[in-house]
Amino acid sequence: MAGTSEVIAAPGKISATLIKRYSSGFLLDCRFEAPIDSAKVTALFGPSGAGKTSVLRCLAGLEPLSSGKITFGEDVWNDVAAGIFVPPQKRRIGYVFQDYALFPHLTVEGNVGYALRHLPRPERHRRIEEMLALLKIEKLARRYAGELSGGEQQRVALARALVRAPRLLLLDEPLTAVDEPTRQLLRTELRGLLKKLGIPAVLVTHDWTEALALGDRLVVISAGRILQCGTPQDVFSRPAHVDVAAALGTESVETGEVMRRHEGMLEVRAGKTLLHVADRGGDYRSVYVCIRAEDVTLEIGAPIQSSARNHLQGTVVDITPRGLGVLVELDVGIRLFASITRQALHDLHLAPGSSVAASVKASAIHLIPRPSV
Amino acid sequence: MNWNAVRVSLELALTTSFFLLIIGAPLAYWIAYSQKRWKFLVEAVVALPLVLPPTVLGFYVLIGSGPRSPFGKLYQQLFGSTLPFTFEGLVVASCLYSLPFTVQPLAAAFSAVDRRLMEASWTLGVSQWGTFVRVILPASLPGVITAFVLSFAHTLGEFGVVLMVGGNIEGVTRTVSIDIYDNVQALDYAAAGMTSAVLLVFSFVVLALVYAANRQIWKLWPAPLK
Repeated sequence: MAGTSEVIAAPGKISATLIKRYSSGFLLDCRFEAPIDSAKVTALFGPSGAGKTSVLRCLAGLEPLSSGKITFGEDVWNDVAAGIFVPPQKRRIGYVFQDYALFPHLTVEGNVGYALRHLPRPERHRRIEEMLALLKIEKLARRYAGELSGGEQQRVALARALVRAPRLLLLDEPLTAVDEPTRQLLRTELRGLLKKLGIPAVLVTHDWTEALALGDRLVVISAGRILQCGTPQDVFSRPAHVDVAAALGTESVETGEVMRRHEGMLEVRAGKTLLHVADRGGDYRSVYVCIRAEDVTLEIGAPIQSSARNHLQGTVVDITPRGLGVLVELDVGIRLFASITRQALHDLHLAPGSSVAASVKASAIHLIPRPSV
Repeated sequence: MNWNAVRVSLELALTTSFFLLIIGAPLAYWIAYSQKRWKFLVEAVVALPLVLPPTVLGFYVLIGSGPRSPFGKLYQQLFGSTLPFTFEGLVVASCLYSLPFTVQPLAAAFSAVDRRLMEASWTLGVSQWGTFVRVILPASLPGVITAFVLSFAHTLGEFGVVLMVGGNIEGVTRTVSIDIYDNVQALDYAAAGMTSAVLLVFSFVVLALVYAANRQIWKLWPAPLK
């Protein structure tokens, strides 16, 4: 343990060595860094029960560490060896709880203004109104928390956390408690909001699309341990651990740019490859291109007529058994995975180095808007 | 009816309930949230008046507050009088006697408050005390009302402790329950019956109000979170 707890305080980042034993027997043993110099979002990603929320609670000061150290920039928040523990009140953070934890006896105004008691009344009202306007919830000002929908509660919880300009925003599964259509909308908005306010954030999620859409950096956590840290693309395309791959599912993930929108179709450039993708709406340029291995069909020989919009010529890089079939890794200008049966592998005589064409339907390519820096 | 006794009883019950809320709230807070392993000992001490005969409690208060005890001496130096057979003495004894009726509802209400609400308050920079006043107390409002009303009603009905500590001084320490006892001793059944009936109805109304508050018959605050 001693070797892992050397955390060097540095400006511009959170450094954390978190060791915490729970009475249930669960052991949290994590070491990671997260940038805080600009509005960077770090997504803590992992299955439920991995200890994501515990990490967030330790960062917030809601749980003291058993051993280890947390520094925020040059401030020490918790250092067990030195006997330092800064309580949550003094860390100047914003915390958005998973089910929002709005005060039921207060109105939306009351909730948002809760942290501003010390300010003179006009100043307080100005700040509340500003925040309500920013989150477009002016109309809800006099409602009570119990009278709000999930999406509305989420906005109020965000407004309440942001109103005192926290140095760090901690978000615990911020979008799980709202329904799917709202989630899409909130995701884009949340991203924009964080960039606009320039507040760094650490976000907990078990949903990889959310991790991709919101995170500048990914920290993959499982069973209380950090498995991998890096940019989303790094983590997704080069999972460092089988658990990471399993958590993510077999997806090809590449960065791409939307080049053209035309008659319900998008042309997306990824690497040297131009892909045709069904346009599901939304105005974005930078994207992650996600293709499930199950949706990729392999062909050899002359190009055939097909309804699939994408025919990509390339070579086989690697073949690995997976379940009842095999996973074929291709280089078609981008890295692409295809999941095929052993029978198909045999019939096509595929081996590393073989020339092959991969076809993917335009509707099977999933685009996730990418945070633009 | 002896209106003097009614006045003494009401004054005693109100004063006691008021002081008990002030003493009981921190105690209940500690019981609700402390992680100490010896917490059960404190809980047992608080519950003692529930099972002790009032005469036993009265006896100890009498001895403990008498001029020969350290506490009694201190009190005499500070206030120039002794506690037994005074209204103040009755208040002290009643506070001990009704302590569980304040602390238990409060502790139950405090520990039922959603912990995340308290944590949300802390992360918003509000101190533990501020959180207690602005989150825990409003969320425990039915419990606070219950605690106040129960200790009020319990003090109103006490007999043994009052007799032991207060004696029976008209206009100072003669409460309704002692007045009834005196009436019966004097074979004045009409007066005893009248006062008893008033006490009975009053107690029933008070308890009905408490149970109604706990059932949220009235909206103490807006709709709970979905």
